[in-house]
Amino acid sequence: MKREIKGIENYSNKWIALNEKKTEIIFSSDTYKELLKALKKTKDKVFLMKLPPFVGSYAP
Amino acid sequence: MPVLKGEYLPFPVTDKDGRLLEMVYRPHIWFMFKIGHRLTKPIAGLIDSGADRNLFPAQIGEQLGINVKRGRPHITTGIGNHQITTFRHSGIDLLFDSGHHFQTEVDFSYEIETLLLGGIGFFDKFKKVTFQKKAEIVELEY
Repeated sequence: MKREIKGIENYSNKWIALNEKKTEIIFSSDTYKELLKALKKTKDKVFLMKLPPFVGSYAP
Repeated sequence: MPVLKGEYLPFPVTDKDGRLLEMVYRPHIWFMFKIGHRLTKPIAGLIDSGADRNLFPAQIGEQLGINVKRGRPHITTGIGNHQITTFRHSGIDLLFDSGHHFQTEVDFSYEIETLLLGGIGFFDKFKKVTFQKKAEIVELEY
């Protein structure tokens, strides 16, 4: 089954933290460092990702 | 045989005006960095069979307490022959869901932001890596 992440289209080129089910974005930031800082107060299990810019296809 | 599971995560593809063209799904695996007895929060790495080596953003290395620029410098060439400078570090401990972990080499760069898991240092740690695009899973046998 394909995973869906609610509202992901609004987070181009951002670092994001997903909730435990990996279905919703609960924090976002421009840098990994800032994301970790924002997450210091949460005890929830989170999953981190860096989203690339969404414009066009991606070939790393 | 023990198997780790990766998954295909969704990414929007838009035109230059931000209009959604399609959703694409790219193969990732979640892992943590193990630093002594401390574990980082899980992070997604792109399972990139086209990448020679593991290549991570320098800002991650810095947050792990690594002096990135003290690594051995290398050049990595990417799409469109674009070249970036990387700094190689060894002994980076990656821990996966099942508790499986290994130490590996990672090239860190200030010029990339995506975590790429490549041939040397990731794929070569497994007996078999199977991409199942239809099922949207990746199986990594070790």
